[in-house]
Amino acid sequence: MKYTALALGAFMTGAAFAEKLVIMGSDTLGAKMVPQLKEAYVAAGNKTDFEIAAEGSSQAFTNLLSGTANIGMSSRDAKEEEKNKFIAKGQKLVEHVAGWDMIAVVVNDKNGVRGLTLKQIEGIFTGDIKDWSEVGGKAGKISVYTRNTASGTYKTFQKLGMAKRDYGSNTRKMAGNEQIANEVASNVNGIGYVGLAYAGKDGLRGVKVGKVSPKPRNKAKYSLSRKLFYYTVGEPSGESGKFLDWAIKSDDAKAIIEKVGFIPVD
Amino acid sequence: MAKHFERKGRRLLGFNLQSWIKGFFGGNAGLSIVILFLICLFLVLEAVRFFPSHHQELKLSQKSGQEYVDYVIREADEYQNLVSFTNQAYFQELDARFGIERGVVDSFGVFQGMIEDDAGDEMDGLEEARDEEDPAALKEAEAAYQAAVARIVNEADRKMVDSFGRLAENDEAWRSVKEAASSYDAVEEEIPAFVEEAETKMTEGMASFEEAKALISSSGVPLKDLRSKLVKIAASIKDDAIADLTASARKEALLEGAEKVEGEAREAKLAEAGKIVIQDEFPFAERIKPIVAAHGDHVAAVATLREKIQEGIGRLPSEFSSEPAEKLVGKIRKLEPKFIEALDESIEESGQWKWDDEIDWVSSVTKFFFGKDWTTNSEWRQVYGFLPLFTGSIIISLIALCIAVPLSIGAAIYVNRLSTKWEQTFIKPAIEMIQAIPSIVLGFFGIMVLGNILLEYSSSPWISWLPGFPITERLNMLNAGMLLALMAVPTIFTLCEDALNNVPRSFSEASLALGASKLQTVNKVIVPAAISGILAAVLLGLGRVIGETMVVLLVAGNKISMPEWSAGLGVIAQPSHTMTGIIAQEMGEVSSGTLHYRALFLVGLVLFTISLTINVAAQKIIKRLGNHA
Repeated sequence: MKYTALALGAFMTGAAFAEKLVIMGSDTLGAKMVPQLKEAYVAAGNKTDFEIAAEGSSQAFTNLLSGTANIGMSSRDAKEEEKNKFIAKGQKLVEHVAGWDMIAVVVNDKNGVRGLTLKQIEGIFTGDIKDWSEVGGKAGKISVYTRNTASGTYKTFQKLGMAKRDYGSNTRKMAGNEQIANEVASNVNGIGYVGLAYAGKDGLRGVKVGKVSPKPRNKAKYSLSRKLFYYTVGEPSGESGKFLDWAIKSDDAKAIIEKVGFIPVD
Repeated sequence: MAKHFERKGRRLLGFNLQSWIKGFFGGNAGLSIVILFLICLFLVLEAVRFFPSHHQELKLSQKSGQEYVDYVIREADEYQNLVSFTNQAYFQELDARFGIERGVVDSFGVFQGMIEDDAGDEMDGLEEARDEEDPAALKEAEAAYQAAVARIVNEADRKMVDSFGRLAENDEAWRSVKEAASSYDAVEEEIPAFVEEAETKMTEGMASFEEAKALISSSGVPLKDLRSKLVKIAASIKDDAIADLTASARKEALLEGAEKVEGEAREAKLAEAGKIVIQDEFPFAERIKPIVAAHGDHVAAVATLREKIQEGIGRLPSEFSSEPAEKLVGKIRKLEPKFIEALDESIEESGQWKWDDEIDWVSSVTKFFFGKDWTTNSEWRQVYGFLPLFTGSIIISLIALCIAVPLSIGAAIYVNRLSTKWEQTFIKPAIEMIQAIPSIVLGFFGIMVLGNILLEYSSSPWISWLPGFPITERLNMLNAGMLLALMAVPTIFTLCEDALNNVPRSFSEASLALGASKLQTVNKVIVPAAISGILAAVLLGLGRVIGETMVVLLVAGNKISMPEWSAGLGVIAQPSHTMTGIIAQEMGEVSSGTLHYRALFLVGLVLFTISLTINVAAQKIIKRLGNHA
């Protein structure tokens, strides 16, 4: 009798968590967004067992190929050679846009500069451009505020906005978006970058980058934005299909995506 | 008591209760000493191991050619300075001579953007109607577009459009811009004649300056191209060399990992491990060839730069309408010979550079202690130069002491010698209470309150003449120094007061009996007698501020570079980073055993040594000079 109960218990737990979803890849997605989506998804009553590993986008493709992951996360689209490997195995790699990552370059709202080119942004953050008069503004030494070296955005911005060059030694390293926003709002000659959600703070203005304003609807045209992806092998079905559908389309998921600083797909 | 224990005579393991209690307290003392010793040992071991790893890193930078490419990078940076000054001068002059025209072009550009943003639908409609060639529809679309544009132009906020106020005193120009914008055809992108005229006037008027500017900005193009090319080559050599260095470790890890899994995953791991080739030695000599060969290009690029920039600077105008532009061009002319000299030196040095020269280990020490850059998480190379952190800490501490020392010594003398009993019972605890404010609270106060006060009031005429004023950013060394002064005051005050207290009564009584006034007694008798104690108090105050972390991390501005000494005493209003701040900020991202990790420990060790020295010195002073206690 005792043993039957035990066996029954084991069977039931087994049944309840039978569906296991392994999600691997980019740490941009895997650090906050996907774990929070998972929490909400489970809280909404879905009995799915998750395993999330975030060590970089490349990990998504190697693990999808070997079959050790159900869903891959990537902050870049798949390279040709990665796609070829799937083709060679007779499989199809399917891409799903998870959301957008957009970085706004902000200046003090008393600063007349409304727009900068990407080249000018590179110049300012690397220290080549030192004075506002060089980019059309009133003369004044530029004070550059950036995230500190431990931040992921620090690297992303280097890639998107600075042609991978190093930050100038005159940059002030701040602990977070909020701190950058505060300092730029209090310094007429300040410039910095923040997640889009912080660009609307009082005293700040997001500048146009290459004539494109940092607004969610411009996400595809804006230079300092990138798509974030989920990848699956073949069209997703079963548990992964259900989760992806929820994570991309549901309003709950969109609210979470916005909360962690990204832009949901519309 | 003792007798009581002995009478009972209970013994455990041959010791009575009293020996056990004695042992317990002695053990506690011993344990703390052992722990202290272990911490010191750990700190020293981790810190000292920085030097061999640093040496390794420097060697790798040399063999991968990064060291050579750094010559090119430095030359390009120096050159960029001149370009920056030229651009500044150009735009200052442009503003002074063609402010209105510039305002016209700028404002029109803003209108253009607004029309494209807000009248997008009407623009699409107009474009469609034009394609269809239906006169009625075209008329309707045109009317809709014009109405939309008129609405946008009329509703536009003048301050927003003319954001630099260049047209502020010229209503006529402003009206013309509005008119030009209203008649603007955004589909065909036809620039109205009025705006075009202004543009032509600017380009024609600035033609000679423009030409000189173009020469200067184009002179460095070959050098910058060479920089991007060489940076890529050197970085790839270094990456491969590091992969090679760690190859055997990676192979081992993969084989070990393969033991733990089954099936396909195991085979994949084994296959990957099989692919790793362990070379006896990385072929630096082979890989470095393109960089060594690039020296010819380097010399040529610098020659072009030299020739063109000299010509460009020569062609810069000598008469200006704008004073700042004149100053800037004067600066460029003054910098030019230095720049050319530095270029020649750099070319000569880089010509002698060899990828396989032996680097002595001393340079791994000097490059740390005298290095002026601290660059981590870099795309290019990690640099650990301690000097900017040290300078930041020292300047902030000095500011703090300059404020705290007079305040606390004055307060101590007053409380100890001049105040009434009632004042004493009030002031002393009040000052000592400051110590109870947590440093995070002070830091928060510094950002939110003190920073804003400094920002706001430093521009008022009665203090704006002070060095560094008016300040432009609220996170700076002065702000941090003022907060630290607040933290140092209780320490210095208390110790000072003790020192004054220890001056024997007979001293002051004798002095007063001789007819000296109270003030004379303090100045000539009491303070000299207590000077060693006062000095020690100041030193301990210094020890207190130099080790403070939270306030400086939040308030000092975290800019890792040497202060700009050209500002004179004004450096105090610049942001900086500190020894304590860097450890707090970067410890989260280092993994154990890496060079970065050890660099932070080394900074910690230096900090520890400084604090220890200060404390020992304070004690020595008390002993040597003797306190009249």
